[in-house]
Amino acid sequence: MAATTPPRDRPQRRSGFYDLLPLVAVFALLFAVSFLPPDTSRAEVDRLGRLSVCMPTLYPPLVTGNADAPGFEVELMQEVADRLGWRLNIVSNAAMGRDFNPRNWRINRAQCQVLAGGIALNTTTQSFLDTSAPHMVTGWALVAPPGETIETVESPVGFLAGLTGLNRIELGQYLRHQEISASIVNDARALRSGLETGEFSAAITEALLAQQTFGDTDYEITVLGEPLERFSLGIGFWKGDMTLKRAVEGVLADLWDDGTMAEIAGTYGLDADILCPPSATGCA
Amino acid sequence: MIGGVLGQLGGVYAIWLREVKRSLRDKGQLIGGVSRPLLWVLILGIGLNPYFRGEVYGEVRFVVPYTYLQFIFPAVIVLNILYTSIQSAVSLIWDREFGFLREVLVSPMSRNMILLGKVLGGATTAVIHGCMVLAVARLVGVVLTLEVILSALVLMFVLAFGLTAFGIVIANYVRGFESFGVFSNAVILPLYFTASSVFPLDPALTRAQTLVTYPEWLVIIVEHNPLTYAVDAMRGILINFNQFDPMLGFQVVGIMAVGLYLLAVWEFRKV
Repeated sequence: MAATTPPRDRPQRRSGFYDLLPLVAVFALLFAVSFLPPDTSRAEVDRLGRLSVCMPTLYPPLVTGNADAPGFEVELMQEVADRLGWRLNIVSNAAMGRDFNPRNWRINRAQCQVLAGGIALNTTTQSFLDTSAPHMVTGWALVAPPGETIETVESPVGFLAGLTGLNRIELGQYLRHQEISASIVNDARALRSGLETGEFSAAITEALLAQQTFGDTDYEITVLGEPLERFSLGIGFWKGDMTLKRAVEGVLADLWDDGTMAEIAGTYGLDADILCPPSATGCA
Repeated sequence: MIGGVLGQLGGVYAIWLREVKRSLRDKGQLIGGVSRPLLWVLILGIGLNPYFRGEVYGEVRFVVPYTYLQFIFPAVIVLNILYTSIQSAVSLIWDREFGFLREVLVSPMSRNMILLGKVLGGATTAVIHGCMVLAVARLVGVVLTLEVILSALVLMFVLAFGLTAFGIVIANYVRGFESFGVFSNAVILPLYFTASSVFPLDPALTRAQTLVTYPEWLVIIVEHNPLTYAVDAMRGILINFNQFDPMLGFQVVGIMAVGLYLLAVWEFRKV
């Protein structure tokens, strides 16, 4: 009887699925790692139960100094703090909104976790701070007697810088091009009185401030267009405070979704066209 | 003729698939792909992040408008691609050592097609390893939209293609596995560290100011390292920050990929 060789087992083909398993595990591990908190900023606020926000003493309509209607951004931050279960601690800083050099504000991390009340979102600000998505947009405004335009006003015009981070160099070039000389003032009251006494033929300042300062007068307020750019406003966080930023931004998104943002804005007479809902592309 | 072309493409596919499967089954390579994002992003990035954050408003501590973690994140993607691309060329040494390369070379496939399959395989694996870093984007605070992901994938692939070709050039000169590892590390780490990956050349400074801030030899090396522009292009896509002209990065990466592939074609003729 002839001996037969036993059939050799054919090597089993390994399914491509098994090749992919380690890769799937690797991606799952790294994705899980991405949920680790990268810093302690939110945990610290949770521990204290208090969110300190540095704001200017007065920058209407964002900060009004009026207890009944404290300002758009004050109410916004109050809502954020309430929803996250924190107490809101406003740290007023008189230099904010008045002195355009932020070094002179002397704000440090020990004083507040968040900056608000007119934080312009641009490269200058963002080299000091991390910022939220914009929630409103502003620009330079001309305040002048009815019928006057930037082409017809005569020198000198009063100028108040207002928010930090607005491009004063660009504005200066624009005014020189229009052959207008500007006289710098330090607060809204001086700007208004200068215009009313005839010291200035017109005033130039940030649009929100112009609206609040001259809204009750007969002066005409015109937001200056091209070539001057418009500026977005948002909330400032210290660089690297990502967990706090995520928490606040999450609530801000909720405020947009449930209409609270628009409701607060309406209280202060802020038009819908200056608000920047998350879906808006023109504000970013 | 069409059958011949399709046959060649089929061969390219077979070599590509073999390279990709070999990489996926190589646990060491996978562990390396995971450990780099974990070490560089999680440990180094989070560890150094507080030292570059602002403590006083108005006082610039770090010259880019992003956190340190966000700043190094695109560079870690490039690092993962750099390692994987160059290391994938070790398969050439394996194939040469065990005689597989000879069998492939005597097949009807042209050498250029064999090389193309190997380079595409290595580039695909490197892109997968680059995507591993993208998986931790949430931790870093980088927002990934579809447009961002697609742009990043294209850049990753072109970069990986060029670097894999570069790895093959190295593998052609270095015959042993051990020496390849040592040699490739000797190439990878200096390339990475002088690519503006862990520190920026401040775009706000003039050249004269930059030369005051850094030693001239370092500035020259950084500016002449093509990987600098790859990292810069990746930063442009992921965090919208460029130190150089945004288009320059894409141009340098494209030219580098074509140039290194042509060099690899030239070298592969000697295999």
